[in-house]
Amino acid sequence: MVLVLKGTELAIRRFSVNSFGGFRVSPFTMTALRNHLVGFCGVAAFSANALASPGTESLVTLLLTEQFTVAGTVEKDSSGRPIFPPVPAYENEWSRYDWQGNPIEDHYEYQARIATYKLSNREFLGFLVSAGVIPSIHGWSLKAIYNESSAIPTYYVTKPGVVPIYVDDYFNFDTFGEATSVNATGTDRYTAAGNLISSVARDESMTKTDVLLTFSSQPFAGAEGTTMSLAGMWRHTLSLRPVRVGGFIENRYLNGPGSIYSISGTIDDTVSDGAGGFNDFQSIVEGSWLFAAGWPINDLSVYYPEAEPFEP
Amino acid sequence: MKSRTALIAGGALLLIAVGGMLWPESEEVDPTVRTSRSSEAPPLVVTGDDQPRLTPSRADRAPAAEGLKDEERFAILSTIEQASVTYDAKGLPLIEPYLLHQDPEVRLAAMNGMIVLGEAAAGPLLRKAAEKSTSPKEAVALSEAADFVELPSGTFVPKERAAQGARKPGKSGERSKPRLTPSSKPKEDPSPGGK
Repeated sequence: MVLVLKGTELAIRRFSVNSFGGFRVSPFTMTALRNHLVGFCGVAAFSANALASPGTESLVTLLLTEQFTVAGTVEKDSSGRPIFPPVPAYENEWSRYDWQGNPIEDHYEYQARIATYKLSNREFLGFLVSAGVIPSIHGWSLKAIYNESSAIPTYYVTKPGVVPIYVDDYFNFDTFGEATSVNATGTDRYTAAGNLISSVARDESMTKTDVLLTFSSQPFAGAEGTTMSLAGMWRHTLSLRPVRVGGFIENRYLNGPGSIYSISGTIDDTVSDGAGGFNDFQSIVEGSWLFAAGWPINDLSVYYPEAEPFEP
Repeated sequence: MKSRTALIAGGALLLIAVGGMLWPESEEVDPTVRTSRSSEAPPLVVTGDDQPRLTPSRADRAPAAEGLKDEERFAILSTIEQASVTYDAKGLPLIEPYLLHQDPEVRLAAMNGMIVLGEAAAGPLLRKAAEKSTSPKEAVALSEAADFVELPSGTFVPKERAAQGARKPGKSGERSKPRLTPSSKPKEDPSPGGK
């Protein structure tokens, strides 16, 4: 069996835990673990629970603002007086005349302003309601689910007492260049006879990744819907932490707090014009996404099956 | 000398025996249960008999008042999350006390909870917390969050967005007169004093 893994460490860790009922991390193992390249690992053959993977659950907070051009004035009559009730308008033209009816002034104005709206969890969940995914926004949270063999999260909406709903189809997460800082240390102590006394491990990392995040409700290009293309810098942290599973403690890589910051991008809306054609609207987007520190999930397959590692 | 060694060995054995009795039996594992906090955990030590123990560290010896236990933090974060997903201003008083909590993770969760809740009424509460915050960085974040929640709500639904503020299709509304230029030549003044 061949597993595609983010690093080889995961397979080694599982091998250690599953085969010996304990856990030991050596500096060599951690060095191997730092290899985040996709690779083939023969040791994965020992991993019998590939579809009952541990993972991390993290609350997501959307902090985006959308801005677009709107009319900055109201329609005016031929003498330059606003008509009532007010109707938004970009431009007006009017003239003034002397007592003999000769034009003495021609006026032209063009007024536009930037309208700013927030796009947060509430608005995203409102979209899911309009799409028939959830009946109402009340009680629903947006969550990023990580499995330990992939850095890319999968998105769900969750509500207590309700099976989580997979919403990752709306998102596309492309990663580009990255830079990582790591602090990983390990110490094994032995008796004179060579028996292991203790093994201490610490592994903390922070990675900044250039990402392109796409949200789309368009079934295909040119169809009615929205496509939001956002570029940003994704800061994510990973820590080796002890997690109690029943009577045992397992060492796991858990996703810490993070964010996608410096987000900027464009929203392209395609809306029916009511006459068989489409109108296109554009907006700009700025802001950030925040990820709370993750909570360990012992078995993703129970409620988050789509977040399981991909197995060819 | 031998008696002292025997005493130390006996004491060590007694401690091991007590530790063994206190070590929890294996339990049923709920695969979805959140079992430990991901932050502020000490490094893992595995002893020679494969019995994991946590290393004693400064964090372990710190007074309890300085930090929350995992269970306490989990309870508070759950409270904040449940209040925030009411998406109702009634949830604000439940979150507000945690904006200035001693635990930074709780404070951050409270601020995010206000953003998630999405009510403009959260703005004054966030500004009030910003004024009292002892961290300049957090004060700025709270103020920015206040500005954000007070913005009007947008929408992810294209038709609704297209209707906002009399938008025009395309990149922006196009002017009928691209540029305003002054009159090319002022009219000649016909008055007697004019040139």
